[in-house]
Amino acid sequence: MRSALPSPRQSTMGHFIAGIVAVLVFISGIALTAAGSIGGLLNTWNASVTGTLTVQIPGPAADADKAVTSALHAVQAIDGVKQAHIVPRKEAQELLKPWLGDTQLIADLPLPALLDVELTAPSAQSIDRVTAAVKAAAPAALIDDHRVWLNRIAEFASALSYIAFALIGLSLAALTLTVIFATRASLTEYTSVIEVLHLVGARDSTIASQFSWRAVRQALWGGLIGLIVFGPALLGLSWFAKRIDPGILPPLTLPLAYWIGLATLPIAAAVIAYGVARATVGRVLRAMV
Amino acid sequence: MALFRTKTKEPDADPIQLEGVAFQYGNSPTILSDLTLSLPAGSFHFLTGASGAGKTSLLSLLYLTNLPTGGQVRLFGQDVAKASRNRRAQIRRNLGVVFQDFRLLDHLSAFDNVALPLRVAGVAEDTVQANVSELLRWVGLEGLFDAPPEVLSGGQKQRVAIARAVVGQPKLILADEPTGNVDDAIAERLMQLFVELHKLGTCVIVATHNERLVERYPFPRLHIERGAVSVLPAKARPATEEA
Ligand SMILES: Nc1ncnc2c1ncn2[C@@H]1O[C@H](COP(=O)(O)OP(=O)(O)OP(=O)(O)O)[C@@H](O)[C@H]1O
Ligand SMILES: [Mg+2]
Repeated sequence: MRSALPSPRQSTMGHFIAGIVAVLVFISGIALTAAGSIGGLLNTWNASVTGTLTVQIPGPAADADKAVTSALHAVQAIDGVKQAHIVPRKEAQELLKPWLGDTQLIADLPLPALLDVELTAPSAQSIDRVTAAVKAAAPAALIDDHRVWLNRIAEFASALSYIAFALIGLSLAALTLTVIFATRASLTEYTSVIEVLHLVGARDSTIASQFSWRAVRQALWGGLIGLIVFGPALLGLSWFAKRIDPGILPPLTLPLAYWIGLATLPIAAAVIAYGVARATVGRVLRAMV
Repeated sequence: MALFRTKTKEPDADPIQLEGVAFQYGNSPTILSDLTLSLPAGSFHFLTGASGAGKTSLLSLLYLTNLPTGGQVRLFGQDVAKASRNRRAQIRRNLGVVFQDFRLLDHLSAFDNVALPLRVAGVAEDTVQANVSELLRWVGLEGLFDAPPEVLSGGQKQRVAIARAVVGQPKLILADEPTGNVDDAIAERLMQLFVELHKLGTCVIVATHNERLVERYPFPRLHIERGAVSVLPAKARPATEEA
């Protein structure tokens, strides 16, 4: 219900409430996007990495090449191995060229012999079986199953998403506190207005609803601005993400549920503002006869 | 004035009934002690007393910004200390108060300030427009309808405050020094508003220092001195009332 009583012009504090809600909605949007896309990122990486093992056999080229061939045969016999192939030395040397230059040096380097193994369904057991077979065929072999690396990435990513959620939590807390204090402060500016309305016989509930609906409008307005600014920011971010490499970063989009979550922030702010305004005006009025 | 057409309906109880009323601010000295008084509808009283005697304080018990520290204040038969907050709001809507410090709303035009009590009471907007315009013209503020209080002189603000007090044709008018900032000609015109309402049955109290004002009208005085209120007869001869 809106009261027909004329209100004072928007106060500085009123603009402040709108501004702070806008900023916090924006920050929460960014944090939500971050949290959401880190999950997607992990899945992409998981899928492309867990299915492969790399076997390195160090030592003089002739010995290593012999060992890698027997490792290849051993591995191919294992159930669960989709395919395995020896990485030709030329190929490995090609990979080093950008770093070392096209020199004789590369040919002279004691590079390990390399074997790529691709598993049909990566699991701890199949990795262990491959490891055992390789060790039996070539005791000097080093096996990199990417798990350590992947675990660290996973830990890092989940730490990041915790931080993102903590950020959302913090901005909610900041939102609550700011709305409480700003609403109170804006109402002390209006104590004399409240008093005059009271003196000419306006009921407490009429006065309170006039000021609380104002606070609601300010919060909603600020939230809307935050969402409107966040939209283009999200588009910009996803444009940059696409430019990197579609394989590395998943598309930066926000699932509908997150948009809904984001849209409830201004509403939450409005509800808080409404409650605080009512309580504050009520307190100011109860101090009057 | 055509504005105040209808005679105020006689209330069942006297608008003001004070019984053994005492008042003081916190632990400060007593301002009023044991005041018993009843003012009927259609009565007109001046309220006099030295500066600091307690005129504003007595009025504040009647316009409900303070409650008595002793005794009973009854307005329109209601004990104000016992009345609910909504009941008090309703009593306030039957009061027209001219505050010594005006208490206008700075963010509203002169017009909207005067219209405020009508809008709070939910009066139809075309009635508001008509009554407020007529009244503002009467008090000589034609052309200042849109002016906010900050651009008005002291006397102009006072006239806005008086217009706001009388616009709803209240049953009880409490005017605190309502002519302190205007010349005698305007004071005369403003007093006419109160007198007219008084004739229509409104109970009026006008607090003033202005001896000449008191002498020109045939109304009795409530005089406050050292916490006691005495009712003194009119200074003017009743004949002046016809003037
Ligand atoms: N809010 C307050 N708190 C404490 N003391 C007050 C308050 N208001 C007024 N007083 C004291 O009460 C006494 C009476 O003040 P009041 O304003 O009623 O006088 P008054 O008769 O209206 O004076 P004036 O003619 O100057 O307007 C004064 O001594 C004043 O200092
Ligand atoms: Mg006074």
